[in-house]
Amino acid sequence: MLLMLHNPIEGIGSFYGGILHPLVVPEQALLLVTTSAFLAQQGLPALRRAIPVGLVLLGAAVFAQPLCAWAPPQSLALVLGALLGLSVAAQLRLPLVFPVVIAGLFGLVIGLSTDLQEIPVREEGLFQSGALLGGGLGLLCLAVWLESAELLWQEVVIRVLGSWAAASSLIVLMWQRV
Amino acid sequence: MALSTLMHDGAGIAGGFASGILHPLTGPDHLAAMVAVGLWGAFLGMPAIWLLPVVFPLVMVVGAALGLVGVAVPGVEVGIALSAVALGAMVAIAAKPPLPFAAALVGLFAIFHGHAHGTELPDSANALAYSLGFVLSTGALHLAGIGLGFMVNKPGGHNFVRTCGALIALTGLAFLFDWL
Repeated sequence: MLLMLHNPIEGIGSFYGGILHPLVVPEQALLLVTTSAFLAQQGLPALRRAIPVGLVLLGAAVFAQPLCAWAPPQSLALVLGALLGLSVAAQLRLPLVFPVVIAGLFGLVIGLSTDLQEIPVREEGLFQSGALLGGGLGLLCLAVWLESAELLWQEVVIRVLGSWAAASSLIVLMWQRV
Repeated sequence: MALSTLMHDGAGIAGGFASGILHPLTGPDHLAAMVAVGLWGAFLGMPAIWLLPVVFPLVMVVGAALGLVGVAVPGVEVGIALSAVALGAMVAIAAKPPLPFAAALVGLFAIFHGHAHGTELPDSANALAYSLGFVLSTGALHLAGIGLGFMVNKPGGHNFVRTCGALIALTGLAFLFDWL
């Protein structure tokens, strides 16, 4: 069954499976969307500094994961998703250090969650490269696209998105503890 | 199949996501109330246009928590139908109450919707995928309401929006009589 997760489409191969991994695992997709929306709200200067940090740590974490053999708990991605969702809903503008730290945390959490179980040893590099590409491009494209929102309704959409992401994360966090 | 396995496999994720997407669309009273939240927000203008659709899911978490721990909220289905009646009526009569009142009213009804959501969550194959599907679907309904609400500034749009509110209230009323 775990194989289905790592290769979401049968026969797609390890590289494309890696690309899709951050996009189809719900907690990772949620974190990707909330991080992108949060960074986008901080403005272009913050994006220019935060995105490279996020990409570097994502790459480091993806390739270091087999060595440290530790994956962050699902609840960590959900807590981060809830906090970022609330921030997006409130449209908070924070000092530059916050977006940089958040982008770094995104990279670490997504990267360390890219476990290689069920991936053939000779295809591990392909899967890791795909995961780096999927997570990195996903963050970059989504953040830059959301940052370009200028119209009132576009800003409303992003805030509503944040509130629902926060609500989803909080509900599932409570569900896990009941 | 163990729940922990379902939480992390493709079929569980797809099934949970599809269930979540469909849930708000298959309950017309729920659907009408969600559109009404966005419609009323747009009708009231800034800052209600973003505040009401943001307040709704955040207060809904409280209702979901009650549902998850098994606290009974009396008349949940009646409350959901009543939300469509009340919110639709607010738009139909062009009510413009103070913002805290509007937010409190939306929040009150969100508890009923959240409770229904919370009690259904344990049955879904993948809770987060279900919630994300539910979010996307409900968020789209809010935005549909906001989109309709923007018509208020067009010629004849004021009456059009009020008519939409009246139709929503009537839909809710039909479900309310069905439950009573």
